Amino acid sequence: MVLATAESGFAYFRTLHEWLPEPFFQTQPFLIFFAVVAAVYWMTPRRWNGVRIWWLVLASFHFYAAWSAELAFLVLGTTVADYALARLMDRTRNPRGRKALLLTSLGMNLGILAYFKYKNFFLGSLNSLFDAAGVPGSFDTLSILVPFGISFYTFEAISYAVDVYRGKVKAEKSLPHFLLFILFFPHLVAGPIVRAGDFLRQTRRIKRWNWVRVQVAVQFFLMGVFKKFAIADRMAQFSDGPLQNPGDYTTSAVWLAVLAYALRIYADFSGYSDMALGLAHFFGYRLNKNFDMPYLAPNVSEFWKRWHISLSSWLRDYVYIPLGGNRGGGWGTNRNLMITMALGGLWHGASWSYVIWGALHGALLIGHRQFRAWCEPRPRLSAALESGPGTLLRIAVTFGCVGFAWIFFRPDLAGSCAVIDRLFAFQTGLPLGLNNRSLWYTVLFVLGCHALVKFGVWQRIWRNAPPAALGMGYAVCLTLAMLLAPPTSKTFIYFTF
Amino acid sequence: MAILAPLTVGHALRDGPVTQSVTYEHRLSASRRAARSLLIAAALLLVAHLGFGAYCEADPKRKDPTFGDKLAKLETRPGDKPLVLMLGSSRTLLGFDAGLVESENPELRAFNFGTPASGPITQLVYLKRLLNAGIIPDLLLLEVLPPALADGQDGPGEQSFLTGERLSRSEVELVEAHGFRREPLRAAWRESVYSPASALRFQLIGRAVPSWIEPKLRSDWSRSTDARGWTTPPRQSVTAEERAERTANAAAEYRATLANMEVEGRPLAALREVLELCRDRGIATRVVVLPEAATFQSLYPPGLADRIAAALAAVAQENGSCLVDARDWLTESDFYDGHHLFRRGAERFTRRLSDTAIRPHFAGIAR
Repeated sequence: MVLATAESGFAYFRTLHEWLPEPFFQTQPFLIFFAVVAAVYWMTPRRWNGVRIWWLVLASFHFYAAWSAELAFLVLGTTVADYALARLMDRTRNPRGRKALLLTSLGMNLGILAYFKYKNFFLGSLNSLFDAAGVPGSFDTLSILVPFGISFYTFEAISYAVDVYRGKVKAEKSLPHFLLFILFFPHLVAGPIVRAGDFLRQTRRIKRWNWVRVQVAVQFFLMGVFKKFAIADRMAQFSDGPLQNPGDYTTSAVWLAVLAYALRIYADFSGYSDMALGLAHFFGYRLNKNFDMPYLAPNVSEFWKRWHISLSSWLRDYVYIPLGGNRGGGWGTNRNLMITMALGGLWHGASWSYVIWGALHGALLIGHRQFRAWCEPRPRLSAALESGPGTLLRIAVTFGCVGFAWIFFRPDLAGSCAVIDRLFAFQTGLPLGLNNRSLWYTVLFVLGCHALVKFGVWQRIWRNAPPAALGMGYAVCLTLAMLLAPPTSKTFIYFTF
Repeated sequence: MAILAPLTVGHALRDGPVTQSVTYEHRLSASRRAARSLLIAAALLLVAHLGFGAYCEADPKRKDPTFGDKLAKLETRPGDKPLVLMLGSSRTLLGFDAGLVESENPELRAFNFGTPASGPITQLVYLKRLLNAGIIPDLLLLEVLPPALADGQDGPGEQSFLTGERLSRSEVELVEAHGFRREPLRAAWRESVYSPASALRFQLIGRAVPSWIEPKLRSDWSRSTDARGWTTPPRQSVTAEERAERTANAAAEYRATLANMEVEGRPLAALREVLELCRDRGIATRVVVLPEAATFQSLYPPGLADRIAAALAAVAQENGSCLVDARDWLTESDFYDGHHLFRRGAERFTRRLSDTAIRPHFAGIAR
């Protein structure tokens, strides 16, 4: 009986998997899934908020289980455990007991993260270390599936446990509300990293159908679709070949590929985040903005206030400040910055190249800090740098540094080194597979869009344009995204983190 | 800490109408504006996409630029001289110099309707389109690409190229009857009608800015031919290493197909249908197997080439046509990859085809 039930359960999830094989937002099956979820959600009377919450929890679980039922149950199990531990922590008055509960929660979340994401990395590194010492390394690496979004939801759970421990938030009493906080499908697999304080209060608010909110949702979603299909996936066509086999391409092609990769990463992740924000808005939830035109940042510290904001603020609150922040003088601050950024790099992927990427950013942040201190007693230099041309120069230099660091933003360290080697080798080889002009047009288009927002033109259009113009804009945006999409859509880069 | 300072990024909604303290009227008007803009977007998308889908469906030239561009070239050369038309694959595209036929036979019009990867089923579709467009050749040369006669369990190999979005509904039914897999074919066709911006994007981008898409996705090749549909490689010679590499690529493409090939299949049935259609419409035909280099011929398992030739000759004969087997007409140096011709190869082949099949046909009519 039990076996038969289990078998039919697995058959159910297998069917689900065939129907929705991957938890991606830009696919047709997902849109059908979303339409069904949204229709039932909004048809449920608003006084039945609990039913709506359960419905979203159920839908979110299925969204993940369609990809992997086993891992969905794992996420569900750890979420329930986090809920219970936080409730216990809230009731416990004994500081030691509270700390023990906190450590249990952290240990469970970090343990799962370490097992699934970092075990092979550590074992591989140990093997290399032994090999370098002349002793053959004998740790077998495991062939395991890394759960999609594991870095995101474990960080959400960790921040919740720490906030409850610090007394910043009360432990959530409602299990479905807490389940929705972690499992809510718009942010489940690639963020933004949601904070309990921001999200849980929204679950208690009764949601009413609001056309303006739906418009915002559609606008975010369309913007995300456009960024993904028309920019990120197109840029992948320029960057993939030269970054995978730099030796086959001309030096100029590799430089252009690095530029395309910078655009791709931005459009890919911010596009995903826009879609997530849009989907959440559709259900009446507001997720925090994850990007704010980061490539217009005039320095690296500003860049990190604009890039993957939910992660950078998480690292600030739960790593940098607990390490001592800027309270330990110059050296201490620099050390804390470097540790925070290297850990941030490792968060992205279990590979030394990500650690190097993080460390590079740490170095850039330290460099910027030192440079700012050096400029302070030089008012004329500061004024020149603050002027229009100076700001443009700073934006260009920052973009150059960030773009160069992106070379390490991939799991293959040897490949990254080969790209750098090729960048300065000045050799001949294959040109880019597609005409360079389409790359430059895309760069100009992105710059133009940034300028529209920067100078407030877009905001004015959004507020004052007649409905027909807005409607036409949405239709054109979607049609262009469809037209410019390459033959196969690439997986979102951040889904692998 | 300045570097990871608290974030004060304004959210899109923060200064938008949702959370703003506004009057009921203001909210109502914002709500109406939002609803209208979304409804207008939905209506525009529906009308534009379905309208464009219907517009493309009405004329195969729009869905299939490879065909459409050739037809456009053919239609710019009207005249009352007899028309010799050759339908075929990329071998024909590079091998049949229709201009040479015209210059040596001023009393004729000739046109090369070779399109990459077309076999008998594509030819059946194209012939029907040509007849519908009022193009009735006086002599139709039908190239048969021998590997295109292969008919696997999953259907003829042509279905990988003649995909649903290039076809009209009636053509979908036609190729389905010749063994194309129903589901992917119908799905691609449906997408071309209901979501043409996605399904026909490579055709559209290929027309507007062809360099923006990968060469394998482009369908503007018929544009770059001469006025009579023929084209030739930009380089007219290759080194021995280059030839060996290209021949190896061609071998890799066809070896498996030829190794397991049965001649009697649905593509041969399509050829029979083409010949019957021509016979019924009074169009003279010749079935042509184009030249192949010895290296390419070596890919055929023993006896296969003879079986193909016998089957083609029999089908041709049933319908008052005949087979022109040109496999051995040329030498290795005439090809750049064992089966695609350089200019000199194309000239030699065209002259001999003209002497063997074209001129005798029209001389017979004249007598």
